[in-house]
Amino acid sequence: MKLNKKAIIGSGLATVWAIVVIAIILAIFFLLSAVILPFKKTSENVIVTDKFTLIENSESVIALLNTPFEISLSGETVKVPLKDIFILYDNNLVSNLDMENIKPQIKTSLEKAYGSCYAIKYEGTNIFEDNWQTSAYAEKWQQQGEITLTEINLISGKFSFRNLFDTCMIKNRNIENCKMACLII
Amino acid sequence: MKMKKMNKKAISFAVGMVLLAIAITVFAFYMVFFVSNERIKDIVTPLDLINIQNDAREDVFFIKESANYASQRAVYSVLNEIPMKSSSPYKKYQDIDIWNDCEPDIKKVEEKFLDEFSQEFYSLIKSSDKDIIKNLDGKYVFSLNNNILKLQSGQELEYHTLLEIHAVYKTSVSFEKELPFSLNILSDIHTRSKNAVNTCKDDFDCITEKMNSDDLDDFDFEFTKNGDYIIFTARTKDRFFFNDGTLKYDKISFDYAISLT
Repeated sequence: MKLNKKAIIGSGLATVWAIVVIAIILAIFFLLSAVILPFKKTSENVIVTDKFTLIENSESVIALLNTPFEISLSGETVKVPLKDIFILYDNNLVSNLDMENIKPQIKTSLEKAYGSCYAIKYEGTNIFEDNWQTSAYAEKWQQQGEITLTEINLISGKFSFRNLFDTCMIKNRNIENCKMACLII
Repeated sequence: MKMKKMNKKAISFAVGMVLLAIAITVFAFYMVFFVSNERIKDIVTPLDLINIQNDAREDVFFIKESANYASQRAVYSVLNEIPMKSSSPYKKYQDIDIWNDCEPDIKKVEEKFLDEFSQEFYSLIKSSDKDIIKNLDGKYVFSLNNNILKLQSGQELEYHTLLEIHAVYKTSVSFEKELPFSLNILSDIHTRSKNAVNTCKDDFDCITEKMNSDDLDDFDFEFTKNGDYIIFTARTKDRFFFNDGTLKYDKISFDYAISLT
């Protein structure tokens, strides 16, 4: 009977120690998780949600709107920023012929920075007849709704710019890969 | 009896240990679910702020563009009808002001510019589809110092984060705008033109030489002789957006006459 009691005490103590050891292991596990998990969760959160991938970069778009392009006005060649070209075109102050000459310049300027990874739209004018000047690559990503959109209100209307290069950089974080994907030379 | 006592101690020790283990586990869960969520919010908030900064940058761009177009239209308005110092109606030759006995009143010129500018500027501000910009209507103080136009706003633009951690981003909308030339140039044009005609009479080459100087570099001049007068046409070298019934993007010109006698 006495032995039996000792056995009971021994098994009780063993159980208690087992619980303590398991609790300590669990505590260490959860404490480590608490440190590591936030970053893991955040990176998932950032990449999965639209919040991060749709961050605008209005600074570069404003720079684009301020970029001057050469146009012919009353027989004189003048440099006019893109934002003003929209006003001129809206008010028929620049001929269709001149606009046809300006469009390739704008395209070349955009392609230097973004390759084929851009799309632009100007509300209030049919300056770009098909509105969205998209490459096949941009169109594919656009359908997935994953391209950064920046909308700038001008005096004359709304200018929209979709930037696939920035989206690529956020997703791949490799400038060389993105330059290759966007055909930037 | 002794055995029972030992058993109780063992049980209470075991129970204590179990409670301790439960407490540690609860704490660990708390760390995982609460603290980590806090950290996520800390990291997402700056992303939200980046978007807010972009909104602010776009709004400031619109306000600066409004100032840009308003100033161009105000320059046109001033050059189209330059306020003169003479209180009595000054002489005209074929509807052209004769500048011998009158001269541009720079104080009135600046007042007219600021008046026209504020009307145009607020009109463009009110055309915005954003309330935060519309609310700036009437909040500015405008001043002119040579060719620097100061726009001092009594209000900043305020943006609020929509997340649980509330943050306010403020940006100033006070700024300076450089005009293509100082309006004082009208006084220089007046003095230089009178001196040129006094010295050169109707020798256009001589007048051209006299009017060709760095301080009048923002204008081109043409001359014609008409009766006893030299008719000057001053034309800006830059193009401006202005409205004389229809919107134009052109050089602004104005005529004035100087008597040869």
